Amino acid sequence: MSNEVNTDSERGPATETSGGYSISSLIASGFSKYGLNLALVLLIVFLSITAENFFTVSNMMNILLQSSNIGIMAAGLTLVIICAEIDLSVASIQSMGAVVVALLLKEYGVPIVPAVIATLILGVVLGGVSGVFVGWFAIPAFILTLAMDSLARGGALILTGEQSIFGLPEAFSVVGQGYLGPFPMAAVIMGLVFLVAHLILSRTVLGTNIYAVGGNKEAARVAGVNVFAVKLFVLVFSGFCGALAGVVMASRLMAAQAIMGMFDLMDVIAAVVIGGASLLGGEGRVIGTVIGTLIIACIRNGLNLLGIAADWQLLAVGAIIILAVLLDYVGKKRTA
Amino acid sequence: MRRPILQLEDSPMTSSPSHPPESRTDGAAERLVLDMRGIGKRFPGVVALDEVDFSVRPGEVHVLLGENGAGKSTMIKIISGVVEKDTGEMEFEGEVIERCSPALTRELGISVIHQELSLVRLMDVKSNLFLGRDLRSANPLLGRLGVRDEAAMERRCREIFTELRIEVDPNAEVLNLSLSDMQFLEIAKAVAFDAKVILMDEPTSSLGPGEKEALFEVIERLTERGIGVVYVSHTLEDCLAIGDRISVLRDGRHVGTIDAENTEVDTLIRMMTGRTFSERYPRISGKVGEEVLEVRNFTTGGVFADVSFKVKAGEILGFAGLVGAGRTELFRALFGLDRLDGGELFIDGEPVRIRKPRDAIRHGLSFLTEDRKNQGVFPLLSVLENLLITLFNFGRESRSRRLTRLLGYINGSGAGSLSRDYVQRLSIKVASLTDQIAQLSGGNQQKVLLARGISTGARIVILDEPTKGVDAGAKVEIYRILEELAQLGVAIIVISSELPEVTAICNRIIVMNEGRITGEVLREDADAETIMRYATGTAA
Repeated sequence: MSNEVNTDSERGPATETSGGYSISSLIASGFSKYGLNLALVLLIVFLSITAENFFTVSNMMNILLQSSNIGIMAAGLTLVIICAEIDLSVASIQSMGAVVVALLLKEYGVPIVPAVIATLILGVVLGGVSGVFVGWFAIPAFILTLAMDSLARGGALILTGEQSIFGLPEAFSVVGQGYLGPFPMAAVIMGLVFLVAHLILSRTVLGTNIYAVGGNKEAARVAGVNVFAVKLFVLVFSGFCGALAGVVMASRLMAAQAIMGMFDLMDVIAAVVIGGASLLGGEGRVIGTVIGTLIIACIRNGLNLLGIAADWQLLAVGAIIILAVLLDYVGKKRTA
Repeated sequence: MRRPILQLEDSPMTSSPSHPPESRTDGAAERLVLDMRGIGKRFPGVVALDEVDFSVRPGEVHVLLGENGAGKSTMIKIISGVVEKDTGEMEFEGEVIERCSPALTRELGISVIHQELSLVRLMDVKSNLFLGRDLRSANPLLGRLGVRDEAAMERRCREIFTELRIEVDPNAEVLNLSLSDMQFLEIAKAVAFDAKVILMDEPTSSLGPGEKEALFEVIERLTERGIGVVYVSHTLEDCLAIGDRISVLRDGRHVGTIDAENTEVDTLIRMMTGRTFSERYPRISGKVGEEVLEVRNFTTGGVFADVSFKVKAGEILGFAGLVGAGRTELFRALFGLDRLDGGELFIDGEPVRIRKPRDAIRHGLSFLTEDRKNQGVFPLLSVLENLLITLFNFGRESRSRRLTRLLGYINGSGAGSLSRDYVQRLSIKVASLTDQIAQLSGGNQQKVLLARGISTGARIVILDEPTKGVDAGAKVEIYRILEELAQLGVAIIVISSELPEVTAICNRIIVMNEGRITGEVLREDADAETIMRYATGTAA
């Protein structure tokens, strides 16, 4: 990716760079992954031809709705992965969030807004716990968030006793089922989370620090970056996104169950990796993750329309991830 | 002219060359093991090599010289088959070579000793020597099954080592070897591959002076075997000491090839850059003022002990010593990067505790690490981000300089204009501030890091090998920047293993050996011999 973007001749001379800083970075983020965009277009064309009802406004909105919780979590995970860490607990934090918000609403009669806020705080706390261990005690995030995954899933199971929670207050459905103009509210929330993640990465000191820590942790320390704070933030943000995805999912289904979204982690990681973020850290853009999320959602939706069973969908997603990573690898090798 | 490095004078190679160049100017000299004529290579936007001639005779050391970007690396890559030439002819032992690959050239007998050594650290010495070509058991069945003949491998390994007079245990684990022994192993590997030409790219960059001499002796053994050595280095004195012929490249062109004998360092510098020695190592000085930093009894077990010194504003203090003398470790600890067991630190006479780099930066320190690639730059980030990242991270200051707004939102125009300012003041050559820093030359990257260090208004600047891997032109510019800082009253500490550098640019030089300060000299009294004596711990 680096090699495609930066040919000096295309960039203006040094005197024009203050404008170039914002505009060119936008262009770079939008179009450097030309191949990825092409893949999405081809996928849409293919599915439009093979699957009836795929390329309709209502199905497109449906895809956005279905992808919303994956997208929200993928936005959080993008920051984590750029920071050269990983969060394997997001999907379970999502389930935990869904269960907790449902319990607060149904069993404890908490009003909607405080219930949602409390759930989001829970996500922040869970992410914070991971962040402290990973950032301060330098425990590998892979193992720590794997443990957190188990803790969150176990917690959700204990809270619900494997039961589904139904009968949530009608007004709560706005989040997951409501519409803002033609757009599903859940998709709007996803869009906002993507936007926030994009602004953090591309426009703030924190974003620069995330790339810096992910790209060269030692150099970041020397340069005076608070490495602990950066790692804590990305995991907290990811925890927040997990809980938010849980709220959206509970609202969409108007129910919550501890085992729902069991396989979402796969889709979330796939969306980020297909989107071009490097698992080695230091590289990746939110726009890539947006496209990665849409690709995954189109595949899921298209396979549904084509009448392919869920078991086979897992197989398909796995194969597509391998293909995407392979294409990326071949592409990088050619430009290197 | 004063000889800048001591060991050259008593180096065996200069005083009694074992193979004087003139002895090969007769008929036999026409035999070339490698002959390259009119080599040209273009990369998008640059002509890397233009009509370059280069040849290697058996048993000679042919030095390839040039500033960074002169085309040396491209030349090495073409010889070693990594990069294909666009134009020109290449003959190896009389045969024209058309297509190249690293495997093919190695098969032919061209071996490269890289700066980054390519050894398997977890295997023993002899296995590395035969890596990929293990000697198999003489028993046909066992041999076919891939059973190795350990004894034969050890024997052959010892033979090669004895011949090259390398003292390394064939059964030692590679990870326990010193860097110089690893390098010897690489060389022995090339010999085991029956190399006719061995390329050495900056082989002394990680060696101390004592180890350097040993390397030179091994190179001499190689030439005695009739192996042609292509030697690339920035250290001109070394090139003169070890080389038979020297070819100089500048901007991709072949400036000339001369015999090393009777050639002065100055001649080479002029060929490379058009500059003389004193232009290369200018004497710089600042306005020396009040004492700003005092270190008392700094100690970290096993690394450095009982180190005390003071620095004044505007002073340039050099730290000389051999590799491993504890200088880098001392200042890493001072800057809060590594553990410090004991000692006191005073800034402006006030006691100060520094636990992490952020504390150090807040107290007006800045530290340029010696490892630019791993501890300096963020290769994927832009020049602007690399330059301003430290300032960005000190919120109040970055706000007051209009770099950031609320929540750390970066003010693009403020950040752009400040970094443009630095780019101009430090004459950093960069097409655009949004270019990735990895695209810049070593010298320009170093200037960006220097700008990063002083951007916070640091009053004490610590530079660890500030001109390592930087071409001669950019070196002088860095010295000028240091002078400007010193004039402004910044206290500067330079850790450097390049003696001509410390003796020229520092007001005062502290010498360390094995973690302790062994001597201190003023610039007026500084000569290479005295410093080396302190550095090796042999001062009376």
